[in-house]
Amino acid sequence: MHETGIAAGILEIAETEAKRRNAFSVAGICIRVGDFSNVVPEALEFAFDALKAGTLAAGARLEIERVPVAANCPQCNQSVRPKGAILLWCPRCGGPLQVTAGAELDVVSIDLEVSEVTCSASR
Amino acid sequence: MQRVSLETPVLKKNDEYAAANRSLFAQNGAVAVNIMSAPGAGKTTLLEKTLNRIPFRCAVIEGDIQTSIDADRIRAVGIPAHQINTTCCHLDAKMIGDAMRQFPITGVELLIIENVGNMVCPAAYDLGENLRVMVYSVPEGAEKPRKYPRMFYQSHCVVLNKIDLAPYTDVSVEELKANVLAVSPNAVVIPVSSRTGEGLDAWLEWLTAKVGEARAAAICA
Repeated sequence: MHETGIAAGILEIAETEAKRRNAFSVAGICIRVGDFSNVVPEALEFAFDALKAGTLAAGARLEIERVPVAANCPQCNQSVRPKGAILLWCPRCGGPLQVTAGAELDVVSIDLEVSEVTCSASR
Repeated sequence: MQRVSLETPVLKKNDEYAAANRSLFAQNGAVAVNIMSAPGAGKTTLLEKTLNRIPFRCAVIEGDIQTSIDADRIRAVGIPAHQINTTCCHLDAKMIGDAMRQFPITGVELLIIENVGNMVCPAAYDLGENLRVMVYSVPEGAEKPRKYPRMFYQSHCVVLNKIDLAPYTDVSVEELKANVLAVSPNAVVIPVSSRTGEGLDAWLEWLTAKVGEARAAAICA
């Protein structure tokens, strides 16, 4: 539901960095989206495509790395990867688990088109 | 083409605003509680039954897409309230920072932030709060905690509201409670009916103790 705001945030981060580096366009953006982040990747792609027009990332491809939910049991120090429905109790000792991965929502990297002229002029 | 590694959280700006809010709450000696739920779970009714029964000076920031109905209801019970109209589905930390410029929290001991009714998006936005409380109403069904786990997981307390309606639904409060704990093992689950008053004492006791602890910790720090 809030994927529009998330997409706008991704574009702002990419454009700020592109301008800082005098790039003339952003060709691709790689993001990391955890399965516990409450972001629906399809909705995010839709919002990204709708918002990118008129920005430096107008032609950018959005690449999404998914991160499955992982949890840890502080009692027996066991890592658990909940499958299907999330159940946050340790299968070994029955104690409460802590989510250690899956809430990620990060811009990993961007691919910039940087003009040769700008590059040599700035050296 | 040049690949630039960024490793930047998409919500970094929100997190910076949240950190500023957190400092402002601490400077003022206020404990902030972010109250979240789906629309209609009974957040405002619970607040109406809460705010005059706890030993703290309270104020409320209300978030809704439109209208000031909720802020008006809070003012009607004698508590200062400020309404934010978001036009979108959640409150973010900047909205809270902006609100506090128009609605100073000087002298406030407990600042309640009632989020926009939505069981998904508000969970992703840190507002700088000390405590997160979720209100979930029995008629919403027993299975939702399993389907929308994150907000439950993040909440320190889950208030199960409208237990007076349980006999008219197929929902077992015990099954619902088990489903909350399945995805949020450390949460305190408190069944209440804001309408009849059943269970409210346990909720008031929990909130009073937690706000007291947070204030004591802030004074020590």
